[in-house]
Amino acid sequence: MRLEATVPDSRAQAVESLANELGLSKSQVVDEAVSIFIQAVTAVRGGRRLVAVAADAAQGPDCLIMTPTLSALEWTSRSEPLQVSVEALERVRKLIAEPPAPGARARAAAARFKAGSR
Amino acid sequence: MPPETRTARVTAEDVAGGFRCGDSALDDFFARHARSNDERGIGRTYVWRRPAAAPAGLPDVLGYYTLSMTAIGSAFVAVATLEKLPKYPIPAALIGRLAADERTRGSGLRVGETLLFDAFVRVVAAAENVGCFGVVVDAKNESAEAFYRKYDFTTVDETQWPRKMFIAMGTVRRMFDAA
Repeated sequence: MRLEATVPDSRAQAVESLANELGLSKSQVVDEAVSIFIQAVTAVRGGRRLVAVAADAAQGPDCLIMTPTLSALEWTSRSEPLQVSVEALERVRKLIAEPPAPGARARAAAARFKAGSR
Repeated sequence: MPPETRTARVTAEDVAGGFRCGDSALDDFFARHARSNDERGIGRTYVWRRPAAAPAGLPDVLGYYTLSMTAIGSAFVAVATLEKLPKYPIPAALIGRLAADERTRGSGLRVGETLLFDAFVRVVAAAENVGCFGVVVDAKNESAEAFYRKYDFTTVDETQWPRKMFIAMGTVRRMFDAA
C-alpha cells in the first residue's frame, strides 16, 4: 500500500539521512517509525509511558519520551464527572450548538500568543 | 500550523524553585501535589519556565496550570426535560488551576493570558484525537471570573462559588483562526 503524507522539510530530510546512514529505504524508515508510534499509542492508552532506559548508570537517568499526541492521550485518558444543574447543562449545550464568535480582546490575545510562539 | 506551546510538564526541580502566587491553596497545591498528581495521571500540571531573554529577578517558574478531562452531566436530567438535553455527559477539558507567580506582576509578560492560551493550544490538539466539546474552569472569586470572561468564557452556574465557566471548542478554534 502506498501512503502520502505532508511533513515539515526538516522531518523529510531526517528520514532521508537516516535511510542513508542505516542503509534502509525511506519506506522502511517510515514503516518502523509508524510501527513504534502505534505501539506507543497502545501503551499510553493502556496507562503506560514510553521511556528510554539507560544501558548503564553512567549514561544518566532514564528518559521519558513524549510527543504532543502522546501527551494529549495521556491527560485525556482519565475523566472526572462534573455535576451541574439542569440550567447550567442547558447553557453548555447551547454554547456548543451555537459557539459565539470570539470577541476582540480574545482575538487580540490569540494573536499575541501566536506572535510569541514564532 | 498551530502555535507552539510554551509550557512543559512539571518536574521536581520546578517544585523546589519556590513558586508563590499569593493564594495559599494554589501555592500549597503546587508545592505538595502538582508533581504527584501528574505522576499518577490524575491531572497534568504544565509550567511556564522563565525564558532566557526574560528580565532578571523573575522566578524560575512564571506560572502553572492543571489540565484534565471531565464529563459534564446533571444528576437532575432524569427528572427534568430529558428530551431537550443530551442523554450522555458532555466531554470537556478542565483547567482546574491556573496561577502566575506574584513576582511576575508588572513584568509585561501577561503570564495568566499566556498560560490560558497555552492550555487552549493543548486542548485544540487533544480534541483532534478525543471527544472534547469545550473548556471548563472554576473561577474561585470575582477577579478570576472577570479574567476568564475577558477571554469569552460564560458563567454557566451563578448559584455558587467557585463559578463554573465554559467556552465551546468552536469559539476557541475561531480565536486562533482569526488571529
